[in-house]
Amino acid sequence: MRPRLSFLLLALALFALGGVLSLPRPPKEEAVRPKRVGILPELGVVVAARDIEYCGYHTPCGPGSRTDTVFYLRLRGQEVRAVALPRDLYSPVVGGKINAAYGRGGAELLKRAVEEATGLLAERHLVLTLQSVARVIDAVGGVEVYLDRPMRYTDRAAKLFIDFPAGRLHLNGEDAVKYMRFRHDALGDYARLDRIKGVLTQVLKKAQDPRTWPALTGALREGWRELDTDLSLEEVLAQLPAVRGLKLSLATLPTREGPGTFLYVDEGARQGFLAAFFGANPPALPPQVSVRLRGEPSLLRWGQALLVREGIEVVLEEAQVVRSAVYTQDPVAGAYLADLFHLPLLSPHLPVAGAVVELGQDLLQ
Amino acid sequence: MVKTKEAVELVGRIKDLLWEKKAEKVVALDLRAVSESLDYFVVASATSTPHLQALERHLQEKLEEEGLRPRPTEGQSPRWVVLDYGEVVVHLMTPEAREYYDLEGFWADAERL
Repeated sequence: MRPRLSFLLLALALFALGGVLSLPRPPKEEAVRPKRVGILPELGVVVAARDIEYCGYHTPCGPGSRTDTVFYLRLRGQEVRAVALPRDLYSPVVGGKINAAYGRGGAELLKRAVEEATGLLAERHLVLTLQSVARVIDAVGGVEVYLDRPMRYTDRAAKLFIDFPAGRLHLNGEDAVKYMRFRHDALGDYARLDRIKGVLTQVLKKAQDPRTWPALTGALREGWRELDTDLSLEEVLAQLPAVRGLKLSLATLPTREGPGTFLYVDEGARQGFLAAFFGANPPALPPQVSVRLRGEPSLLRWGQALLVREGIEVVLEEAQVVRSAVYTQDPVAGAYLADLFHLPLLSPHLPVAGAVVELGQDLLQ
Repeated sequence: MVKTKEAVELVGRIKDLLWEKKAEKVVALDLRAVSESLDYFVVASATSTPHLQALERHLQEKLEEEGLRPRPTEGQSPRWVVLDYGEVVVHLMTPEAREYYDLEGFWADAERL
């Protein structure tokens, strides 16, 4: 089976920095000036990425109509909380999988499908292409990943060759795209979404570094024309200072398996999950949760001291960590720990006992 | 807020070097009170892309003689060059890029040095 293109939430970088840094300035056109509107009001944005259309064997002919990765982002001041929707999610309004919504009814149907699945208001959309994603990743100097086992997949018809060894890897844009497309392991699409969350976190962190801004300027200038979006430049421009302190939380919508290859929204879990995830604020008191701290010895000692001072039970584990983050399915504990360590919160699909805080060298950069 | 002596001296040195090469509208911003993670920006305009490159070269060469090298940067733009000297980040821009991106406007509350 051909792996379908998916993508990605680099929207954050694009959304927050895109207009600011990349928009070409047509010489005769009226200059777009940043509007100092203060903190952006709460806003729901659907971010999706188009796959590639193949006209024949080995013949890609441009962006396709399917969007295998769909995220719902809620922006509120300097906070971004985003939920991934699996590609196989059944959407009644589409009459099929949610990844077909864009092809059948454009961005409007995609937004309606996301609203239906989440019960949340989707005001805007941003549909990316694979190339624009790769360019942005290259502009920030690529990303680091850690593979427990080799990642291999070949699809000659699609001209897709994935062959990454196990261990720590530095991936350029093209390879990072392959890494995020891969879904041929035991957890399939869920693991793919978790990988995307990891890459997004890194890209956003790197995009906060002024050294990447000129390169991002060029990359986004190239890529902006490919995007389908109704975001206005003025509101994007106003957010540049906020990008420096942006707080990011990422999770996946709870789903259950159903007939055929469809997934269905887990109605029982959805309401509680969304209320907790989008409503979670760091509690005043430390959460009663066990924390596993992973990383290098010096960072473990620092993190342990911090947690002990908070009265939180902690278990240490030496490990190679390529990106620092908090992992938990508990949104309240996650919010507390993410706030304590100034780290993004990533809620993976795989169950996590308590919470895991990973501390890597990126903290020191 | 206490200024780091070395950083402030470096800001002054960078401004002098830029003026030597006829950089325009050289402005230094103290961002520490308005940003959690930025310290100082020096922003300057070049009159053209060759002038931009000349400013970059001059600054790099002179500071390297003093043992200072910028941290590696991913790619550059013909309109905007960033040189990162740790606490002090230098933005060299064409007038059009400077007006368009308006870094000083974004950090309008920052103290000017």
